[in-house]
Amino acid sequence: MLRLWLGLVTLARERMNAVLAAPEVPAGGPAPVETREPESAPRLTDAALGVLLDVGDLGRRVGPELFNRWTKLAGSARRLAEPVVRAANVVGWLPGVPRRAAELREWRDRGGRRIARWAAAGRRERAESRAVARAALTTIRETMLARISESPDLKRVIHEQSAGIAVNAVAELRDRSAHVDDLAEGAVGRLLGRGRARRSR
Amino acid sequence: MTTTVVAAGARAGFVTRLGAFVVDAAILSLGIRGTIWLLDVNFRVLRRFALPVSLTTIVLFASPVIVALYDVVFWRLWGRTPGKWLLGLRVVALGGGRVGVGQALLRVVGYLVSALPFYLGFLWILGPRRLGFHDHLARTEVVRASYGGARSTFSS
Repeated sequence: MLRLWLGLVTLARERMNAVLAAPEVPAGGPAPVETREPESAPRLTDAALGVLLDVGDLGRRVGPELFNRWTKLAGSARRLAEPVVRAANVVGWLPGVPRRAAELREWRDRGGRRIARWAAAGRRERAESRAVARAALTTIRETMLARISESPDLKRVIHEQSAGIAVNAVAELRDRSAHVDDLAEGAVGRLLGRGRARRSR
Repeated sequence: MTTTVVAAGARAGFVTRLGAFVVDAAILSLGIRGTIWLLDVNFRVLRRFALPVSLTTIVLFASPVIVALYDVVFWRLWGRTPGKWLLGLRVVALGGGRVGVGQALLRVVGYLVSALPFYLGFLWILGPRRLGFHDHLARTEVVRASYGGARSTFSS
């Protein structure tokens, strides 16, 4: 069930991305971009967007000054950190510390490998989920189509419409043939120089 | 477009009757040709076990009788062949009433006679009375069935 759900979500996201990625161009070319909108009541989302823009402007204004201060601070911190680094190097020579450091690196590598395994398993799971969901959707679609096509109401409607089309076609054929009868007899009557023949009306 | 409102019982004109004739001819042609083809295939499959007479030839020579039977049976039983049904026509005795067997046979003979002098007997239908030579001979007429008759079944 979880696999099916995951697959459905994945498929839905793919479809949604495809729909969103498709450019929607209205007939007659793209409409010109409206830069001015009519005045209306302020909206919370618009206000939040405005705040973000203000913050961005502030950042651009004070950015260089902050960078200078940060550089100075970093220089001071580096000077302060030098004794700490020396102390750490000294500590690194202490008995037992290199072994602990190696163990730490080993843990880190092992963790990396485990994450890679999880990622591969996740990829496999996603592919299998997609296949399961696709099969389930196909089955559902076929079942629905089968039910719809077996519906007696639908059959009745199709039968009635087909019969209606046939009846109309035949009636049209009969009407036209009667009309052509009159035309033919009229033509013959004119050729023979006699009055108009009797009509079907 | 001009719409012709056709009165039921009015005599049908030349073009409508020609259309019905063509439909019937197509049905008969397909039926006879199909039968001949089947018999031929049967003959080829059975080879030396096939009948010593050629059924294909028999059908070919019997086709005028088949055509006559087709017309007589349909006119007598239903008053219309499939082609006439499609065009909404009915063959009735002059003045109304169902066509008898004798009338139907006479009408078939009338077909042959009508066709002989350059189809003049058929062209007679273009006259004001809308009767062909075979109609005069068998004292029949071809009328339009109850209009809106597309809905009527063949046996009605």
